[in-house]
Amino acid sequence: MKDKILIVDDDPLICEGLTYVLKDRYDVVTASSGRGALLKAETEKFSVVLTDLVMPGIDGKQVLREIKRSNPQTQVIMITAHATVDNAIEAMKEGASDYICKPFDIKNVQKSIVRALKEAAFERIDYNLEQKLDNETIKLSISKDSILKTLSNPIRREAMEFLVSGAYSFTEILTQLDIDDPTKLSFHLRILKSVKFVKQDDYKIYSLSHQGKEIAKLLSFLSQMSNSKGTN
Amino acid sequence: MKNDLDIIPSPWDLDEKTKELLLLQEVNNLLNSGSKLEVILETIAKGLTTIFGYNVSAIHLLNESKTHLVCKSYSAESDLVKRVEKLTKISVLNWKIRLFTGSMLTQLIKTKEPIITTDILNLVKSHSDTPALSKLAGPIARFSGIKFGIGVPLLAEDKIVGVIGIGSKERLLEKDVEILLNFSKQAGLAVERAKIYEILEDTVQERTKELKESNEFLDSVFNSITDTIFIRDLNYTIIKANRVSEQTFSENLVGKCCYKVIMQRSEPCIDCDIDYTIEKKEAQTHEVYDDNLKEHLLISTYPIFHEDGSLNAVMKSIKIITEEKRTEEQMIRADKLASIGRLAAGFAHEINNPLTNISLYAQILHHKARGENRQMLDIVRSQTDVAGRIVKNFLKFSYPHSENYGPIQLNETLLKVLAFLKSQFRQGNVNVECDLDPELREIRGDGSHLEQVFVNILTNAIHSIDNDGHLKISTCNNGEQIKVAISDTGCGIPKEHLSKIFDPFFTTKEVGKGTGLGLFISYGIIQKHNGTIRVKSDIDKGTSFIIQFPKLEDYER
Repeated sequence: MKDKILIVDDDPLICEGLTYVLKDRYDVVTASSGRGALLKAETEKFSVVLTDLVMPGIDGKQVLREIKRSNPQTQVIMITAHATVDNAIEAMKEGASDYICKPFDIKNVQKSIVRALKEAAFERIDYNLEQKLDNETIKLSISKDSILKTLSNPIRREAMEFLVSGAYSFTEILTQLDIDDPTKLSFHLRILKSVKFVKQDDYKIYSLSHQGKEIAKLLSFLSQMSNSKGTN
Repeated sequence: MKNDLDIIPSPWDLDEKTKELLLLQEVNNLLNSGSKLEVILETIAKGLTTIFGYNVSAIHLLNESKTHLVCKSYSAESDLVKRVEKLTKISVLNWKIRLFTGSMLTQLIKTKEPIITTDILNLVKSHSDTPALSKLAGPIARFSGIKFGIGVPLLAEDKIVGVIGIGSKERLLEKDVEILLNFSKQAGLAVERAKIYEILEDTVQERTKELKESNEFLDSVFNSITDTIFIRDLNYTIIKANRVSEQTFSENLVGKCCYKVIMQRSEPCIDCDIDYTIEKKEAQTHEVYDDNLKEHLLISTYPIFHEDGSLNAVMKSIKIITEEKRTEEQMIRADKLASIGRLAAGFAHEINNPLTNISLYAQILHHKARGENRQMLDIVRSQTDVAGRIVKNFLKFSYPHSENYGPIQLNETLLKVLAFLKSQFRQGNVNVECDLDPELREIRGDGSHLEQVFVNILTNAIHSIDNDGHLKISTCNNGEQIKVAISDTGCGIPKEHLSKIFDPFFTTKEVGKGTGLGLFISYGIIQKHNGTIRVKSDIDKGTSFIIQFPKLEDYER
């Protein structure tokens, strides 16, 4: 079965264009307003919602909040003009899985959706991570809840996995993870630093902390699991 | 003092009337030559003993409130007064005699009737109502053997101004009283006149002092003004100049001809602002830029009028306002750029949506197209990318990203940018000199944005250097600020372009070679960092950019 995707934008051309691009791989539904999106989300369950941030009436942020409240498994991606990147980052803090700047490259939209679906898959199996964490003897300085929250984002997981192989500069990580927007990576690295999974030396080179290494071990175990589940 | 008395053979040879005239003439001479009251009184007292031949004389004046007689002058045998003073421990001069009601002296003053006695000691004893007089008169009489005494009022017309006292070893007669009364009428007038002169003189002195003080105060005010100020009369002569003006023109201007000393000209300037003020009779103010001083000046001229309304002189003040001018220009520029920024951001925002659609549908078509069509759609896509970047830059200018702000060491940022531009420096044969302060403090900022600022400025510098140039980059702590100076030896920026270089789309490069957004965006970024950027440029000599940021405070870490 195809994953269901809801596209929300007050510009019908965007909705039509994206539908055209995504319809082969996903089951695409569109809404031309925040209100319309929430009505559709009441009756249907979506894997991913792509919503414009600035819309008249109910805006993208409200759509995010409402959908995350009624259906936490749904992943929300914000579409925004550059001007509102700050708002998009705010939205990420509130649980959006990614943001895309206008004008966008279709490839990036597709990449973002794939990541969001991975994230959903990860969340479905997070009880495994919970169990694993309970069994672990290592002492972690933060709560299980924040570990799960931190790791739920695929970019952050990818960054952790990449850093297992050594220490890298910001630009190297940016290239490796193939991220179009440096602000976005900087946001995620900041979160990883704040929970002390990742540290930065005097030359601004990133590497895993001791705690980060322990977490990375768990991750490699879990990503194997999630991959095997995902292919089922 | 010339002493006419020396030429007089012997007082006893002259008759009384002549003696009187002689003394009065002497007194009048003194009065006319403006002598002081005390000198006149001294002359009278001395004259009474030397010319009239009495043994002792004393002149007492009534004080202002008429409660005392005060001894203002006396004359006596060589050491008589000294001995009395020693015995009584009293200083005779200025000795005050209190005028008790009904006392002998009070009576004299009231009735203007003279007192005459043949026994001073007895008189003093029987009139114990005037103790202050007794204290002196008693010992004098005893020491000298003076027995006879006369007291006559010193009269100025009908007004009594004091008392003349006379003591004599020889018997005094009614004739003596008559002579003294006559003399005292003349002498009293002279004393009164001298008193008035003295009051006048005191007043004049006081006024002169006040005037001097007031002048000194005005001078100090004039000199404490830090602007150049001078006053010129109607004939091109400078009549007053403050201290700063002396420093400004390296010489004292007072008394000199303005166009010669200031302008080194041989005749008045055609456009003289002071002459204009004289003509218009009202204050004028204008601003000029002085090419020699390289300063903006505010020049004001104020007419100074006589009391009758006619023109007296003109005051001119020259104030250096370069700093104010710069601040004002910066504010105007900031204001202008802010409104351009708002306009551009709004515009960019509106363009962004259709641009997104063009890009999206071009990508869809690109996916389907083949051959020539696909190549053409490639152009559509790359051009929407260019448009997208311009829009992005505009939006960046108007909406600050504060997410990535952190401690930034500008030396590191600069070195990174220099490494990035290395090949360009080599191509343009640009020799780079770095003078980076190793103690440079950090600022709070966004590293990638600041890199963009330096890339923009350095790229412009490289372009301004035709070939073989020098580029100097220096950093230092400047109080609360961190300063970065970038100077090139390039072609410089024409003065008329200087005010526009931060405007969006202002470029001197060929169409298509520069967007004209580099400095506009740099300016915006620096502003977001609460920094300032200043530019100095000389044609064919080069351009300097001075950028300052507030240093990172410890609590911001």
